[in-house]
Amino acid sequence: MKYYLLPLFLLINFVSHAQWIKEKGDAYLKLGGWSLLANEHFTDEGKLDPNATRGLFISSLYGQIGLSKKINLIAYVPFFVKNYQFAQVSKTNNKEYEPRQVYNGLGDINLGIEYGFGQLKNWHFSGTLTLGIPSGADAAGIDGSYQTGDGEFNQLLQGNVGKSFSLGGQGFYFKSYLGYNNRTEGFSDELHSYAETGTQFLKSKLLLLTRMHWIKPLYNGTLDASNANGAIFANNIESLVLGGEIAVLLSSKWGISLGASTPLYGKVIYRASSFSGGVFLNL
Amino acid sequence: MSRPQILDMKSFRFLNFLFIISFLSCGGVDLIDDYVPPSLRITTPFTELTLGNSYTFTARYFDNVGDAVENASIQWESSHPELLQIDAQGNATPLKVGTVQIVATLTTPDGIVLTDEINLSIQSNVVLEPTTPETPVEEEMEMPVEEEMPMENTVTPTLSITNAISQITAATSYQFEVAYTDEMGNPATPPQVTWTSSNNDIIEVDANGTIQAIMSGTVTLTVSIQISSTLIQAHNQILVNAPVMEMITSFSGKVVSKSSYTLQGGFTLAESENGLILSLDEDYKASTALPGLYVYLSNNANTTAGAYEIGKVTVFAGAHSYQLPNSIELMDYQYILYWCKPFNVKVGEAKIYD
Repeated sequence: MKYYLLPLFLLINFVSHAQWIKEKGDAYLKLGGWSLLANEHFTDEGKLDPNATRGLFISSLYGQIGLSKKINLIAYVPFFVKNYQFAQVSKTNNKEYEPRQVYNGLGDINLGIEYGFGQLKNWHFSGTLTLGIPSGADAAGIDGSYQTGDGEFNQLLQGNVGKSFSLGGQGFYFKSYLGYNNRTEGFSDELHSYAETGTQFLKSKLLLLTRMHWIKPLYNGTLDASNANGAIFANNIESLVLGGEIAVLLSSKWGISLGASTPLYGKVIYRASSFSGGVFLNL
Repeated sequence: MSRPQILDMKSFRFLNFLFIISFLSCGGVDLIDDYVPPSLRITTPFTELTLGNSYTFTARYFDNVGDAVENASIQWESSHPELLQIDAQGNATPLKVGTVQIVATLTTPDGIVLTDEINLSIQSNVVLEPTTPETPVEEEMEMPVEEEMPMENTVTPTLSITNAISQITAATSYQFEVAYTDEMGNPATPPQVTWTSSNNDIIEVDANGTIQAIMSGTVTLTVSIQISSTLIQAHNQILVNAPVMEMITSFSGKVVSKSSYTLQGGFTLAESENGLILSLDEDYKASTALPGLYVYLSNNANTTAGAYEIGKVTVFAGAHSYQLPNSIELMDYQYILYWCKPFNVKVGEAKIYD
């Protein structure tokens, strides 16, 4: 069980409005923060149960650089991950049963490469291979549960499609992908599905978007509580998350963004809305 | 395009804002709703007492979060003092066979009066022999020849044990009584009697006819008096049985899930030579999805604070058991708790006793 959303999932918050394949020499950089605070979670059967209030804050750097007209390099570096739990205090006599717990560390880095297959009519096609580097701590804090990573090297292969279109004279875009995440160390492989649409206002200075991300494990992993020592935290996660974001260009290159997302359904994840913000730079 | 300085400042402030949030975001507390009604619990679960023994009763006071309060002032009362006496320290002496209730009472600092009671049956420590009179045994001693012995209306004195027994429980005592008739056939106070045991390792007897049964075995008890040249004796053959402590030695019940996670199965908490053993039955089943499932003994079903941590669950189906240390007694805890320790999630519980 891993009650926080995967860094891979977080990646989508940063990919957004990094439209299509970057041209050679172009880049999109984003420095951001993402926060989640939860006192209940979806169980392995998708039911809701309470838990001690836990929080996760991630400061990260995302970059997408065009190496050529068809090839982009992508990096997501969660350089500061704070995993914490509220102090546990008696409501009856105010006695502190357990002090607040905090673990700070580096998260799992994602490195990827995207290849643009080209355009067919209005549709853009590309493929992405993302490697999940187990740079985070898969057992941290006093009891090992304050992880900043899952401890396994995963490979997410996805096929992307994107399209621009107009509705009532307003320009929109749509992007989507299907992916297969091959996971190691006994974790179940996953299917990923993602869709996003957005539109711009104020002479393209304001972007509004909404997204949905679905992760479905294949339950082909071997990890569970009977054979793993805490590593099950990231196994068999299932989620359907709806999110939205607003991004404002403050100049032709700089901008800020604020976003929120919430799981509509899930297994082995927190049930709480997450919030994000960042500063992005188009070069 | 050159970057206006004002945008750099905005960006800088925004980043500062993010980092400030990150450092402030780990505050806060979870208030655990851990109230439980204060309780008083008699922790010596005797069910049967034996005459001739003394017993010490104990009770523990648990406050409104289930913590045991040491040195609590507990009052003891017997429903039938004529059957059983109990003092302020809980020391009880059964006096007669019967049924009695012992009540422990405590007044909390908040003025709440707590009680707990236990019903007991008092059993005799002996099995009386049938009431057929003892046949006195007269042993003639060689008498010096006297020329004229008065032979007017005299009978041989008799000595008998009036409350002879066939069995007694070890580690208990019993007071014998004798009857004596003199040469005139009249009941009388016997002259100096002598009590002897055929085996002092099994039964000791004092000069007053009080015996102390020590260990299992068979003994012949003899009481004798010397009348002139005649030694008169009465005997009682007694079987000493090993003592039997009649008290509750185990509890059984069901573990049930209190969450959305699978947890079920029967349990037994029982005393053994090496301490308590918590056994889970063959029907036991627990979710393997939890990252840190632990089992505890607690007096508060709402928290593991103050609980005894038995250990991390490593068996998720089928029969298994936990050996508990000798320091834990049967009545020390009221609940078995299954808890996801890392995330402080209650998974399930079993009530050991009401």
